[in-house]
Amino acid sequence: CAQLPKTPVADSPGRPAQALTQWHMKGKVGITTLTERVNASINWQQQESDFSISLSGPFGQGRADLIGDASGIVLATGGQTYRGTSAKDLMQQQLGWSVPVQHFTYWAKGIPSPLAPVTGLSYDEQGSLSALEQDGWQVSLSRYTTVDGWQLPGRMSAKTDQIALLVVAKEWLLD
Amino acid sequence: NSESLVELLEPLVNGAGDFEQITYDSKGQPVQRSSGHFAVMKPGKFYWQTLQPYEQVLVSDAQTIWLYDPDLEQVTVKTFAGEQNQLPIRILSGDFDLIGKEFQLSEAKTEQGLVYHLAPNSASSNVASIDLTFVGQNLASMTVVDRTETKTQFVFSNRKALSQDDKNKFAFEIPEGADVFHDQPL
Repeated sequence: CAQLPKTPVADSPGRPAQALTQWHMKGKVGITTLTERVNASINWQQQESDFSISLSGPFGQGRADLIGDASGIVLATGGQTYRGTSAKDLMQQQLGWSVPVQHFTYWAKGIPSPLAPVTGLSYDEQGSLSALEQDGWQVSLSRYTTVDGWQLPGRMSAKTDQIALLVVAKEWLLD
Repeated sequence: NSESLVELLEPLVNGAGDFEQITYDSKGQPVQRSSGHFAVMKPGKFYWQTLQPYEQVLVSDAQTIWLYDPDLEQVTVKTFAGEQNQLPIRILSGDFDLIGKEFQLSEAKTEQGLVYHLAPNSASSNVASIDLTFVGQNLASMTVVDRTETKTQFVFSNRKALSQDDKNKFAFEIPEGADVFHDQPL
């Protein structure tokens, strides 16, 4: 059976962020495919299941905005706007790569995604999730900080053999 | 009159200074703000260091372009030739013959200063317009608007001639332990 998570030690910083459904994270993202790498600042706002993710590189170049809500998904990039119902398809068509935003929403908070089976769970000394495998992605989480009582990772890496995603969270703004 | 513009841009491409960069969405709301330091030496050498809100450095020695992100500890290495068609890089590296060929140029006096408005000849470029505002001989700001009406404004200040220290920055040293990626030119 899956390894039982070690009970967090008494002075563990904050609690896992399952119940955190509104957050705003600012930081950096590196997306490396087999043929290209994108380095950008990331500005991610999440409200329940609605999200607004903005990437921007130096000179305001490489701007991409991915917005998702009940009405669908909008991807704005390269001076054009595209609409659809699947973030994965839109990214694949317009950017040539995609990351599973639906899982990413949970990984970025340092918890497994409830949308797929999870294996390979392991935890650091403070009892924070440090690694997991889901949907073909190897995820590793580190540099946890406590923000308003929530335990949030400062560094999140997620990889398949096709693409490597690295996010460094510089600021969490929790309203 | 693109000659007068080329003359006016000359100091931009041989000097150093500070920049502030503000990106506005199509409704005119500021969505991204950053600032830092730049040094440029024609042809093709430049150093563009974003300091706020987070650090990122873009360096070109006219053969190679390095993008270094200290937070991610990643370096992306590209060829200058492969990136040359990137508009800001063409302007920064003093590649001004494109202005006559690829842009319609119009000039207007405004309270902010003398504004050169550049509109691309080809509709396929994802740039809708570039405005260059000069105060006296100094390029005070450059505003790039793209097809989704996202506007990025660069405001330049503390302009000065290149120091030897500035010139040394055009050759980038890859930091120990950085994750380096070589972008294959298409």
